[in-house]
Amino acid sequence: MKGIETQNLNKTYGEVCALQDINLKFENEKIYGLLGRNGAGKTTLLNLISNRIFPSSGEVQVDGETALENDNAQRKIYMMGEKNYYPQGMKIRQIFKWTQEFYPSFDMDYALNLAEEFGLDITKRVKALSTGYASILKLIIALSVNIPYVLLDEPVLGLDANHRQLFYETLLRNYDEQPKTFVISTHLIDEVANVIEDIIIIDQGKILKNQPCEELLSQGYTVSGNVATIDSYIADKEVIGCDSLGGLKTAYILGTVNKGQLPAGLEVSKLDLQKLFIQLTK
Amino acid sequence: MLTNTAVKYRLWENRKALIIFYLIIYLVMIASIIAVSSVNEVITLNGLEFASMIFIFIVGLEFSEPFQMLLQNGCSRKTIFLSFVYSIIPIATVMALIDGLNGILMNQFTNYENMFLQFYGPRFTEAVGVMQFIEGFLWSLTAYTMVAIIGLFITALYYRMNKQMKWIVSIGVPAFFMIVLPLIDTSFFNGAIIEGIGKVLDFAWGYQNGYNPYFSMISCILFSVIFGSLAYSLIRRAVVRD
Repeated sequence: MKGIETQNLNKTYGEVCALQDINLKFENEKIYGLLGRNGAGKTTLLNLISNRIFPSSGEVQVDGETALENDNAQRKIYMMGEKNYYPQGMKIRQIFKWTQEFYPSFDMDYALNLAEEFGLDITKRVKALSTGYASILKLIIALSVNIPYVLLDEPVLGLDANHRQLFYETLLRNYDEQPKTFVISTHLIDEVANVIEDIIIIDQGKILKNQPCEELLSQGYTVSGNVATIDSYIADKEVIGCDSLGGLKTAYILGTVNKGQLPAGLEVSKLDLQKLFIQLTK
Repeated sequence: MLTNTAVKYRLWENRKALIIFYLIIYLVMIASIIAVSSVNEVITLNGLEFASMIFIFIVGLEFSEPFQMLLQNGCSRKTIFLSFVYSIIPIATVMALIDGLNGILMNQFTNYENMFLQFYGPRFTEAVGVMQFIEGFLWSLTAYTMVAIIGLFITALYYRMNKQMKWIVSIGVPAFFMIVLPLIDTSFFNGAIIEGIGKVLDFAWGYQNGYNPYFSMISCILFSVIFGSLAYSLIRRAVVRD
């Protein structure tokens, strides 16, 4: 069995239940978006998969073998966490060298090229990096390790718009050239919406949605037009949110659109993932 | 294979500190030789190995950073622990060998007495013999390994404890051994506990058996196994801290 699978996974901290009965499967060579509000349990889930913390009960399997305390399973996973676990006094070049030792499939030339593209000075020490460059360092490693499962927890933390754009482009290029499973946990839903194939939404430690992005977005649509027409059109619809600007209004609606009944002057487009997320996790 | 890489990493990580440490030791040795040869009085020098013990204890105390680095690179806690043991043995071997040779070197210029000779000097009649060197080397090797593993146990214990427990242990353990135990011993046992501990240490140190260093080597190995097991039991459930 290929992929990462969680079975009845639970994690509690004292009285607090961080994750409850999580049954998930991350299939091979897919890009997943792991979405959830602060404290929903995203990082806990990724930490459990990468053996950084222990489950209260349940199991994580990687390609059919347990992920818990298993070198063989963990060598197939690279976890880019929010916190930096590389020694503060170590130089970037040394980190690349040691990553290559631990992950023999690490592509040093690719990493050095990416460092140049992102403007990361490889002679610097970890402690000298800003939040953004610390994220870039981990992103470069994550994109260069060439292993089946790459978990990215808040990958664009501290990155400016240019670097974020460069990251998404590089990620897609990397996936295209060497397909692997990426799990991206982020709050920047709009930015990641065009990158991810499947969406997993976690809310208060439980899985709320787990389906392909297209399928989820096909559960609704967006209409835009003048305020009066929109107000009249949405009166009997399940509206999950509205935006107004001057005389124009945009409404986000659950359900399927019947284009024949659509009043003139209204424009229909795809549902906005962020609006849907906000509605689902309210 | 991952254990080999982790061992390699740990050796690499400690190499710079080890080089700096011995540079300082050699500076101290040169200064001592100059100082001793420039005065007419008899000056006794000893105990450079004590510095080595402190150094290797500090190496043992380094837990958090390598733990996180190795976990980041897919190592299980078992591999992390084994890599420590497998790396500390060659480090202790190299240090014991260098210290043994340094002792011989110092002995050529001064009346230097290494730690092993201070403890087990009465055992030997010759000044420096091959057997003395080998026994000194083995004694240092087991002692350094034990000290490093005790360091690992202490740091793993503190890593696992919360702030409250750290305070309790930091104050409670010294207070127990320095105040409570002597008080109980003198009040209720007429000094028998401390005397008993002394006898056990004498036995473990080989003093009850004609200054036999093999007793202390076995004791060091035994303590290494005990503290190593305790350290592993703490490390195997250690988690990263965010």
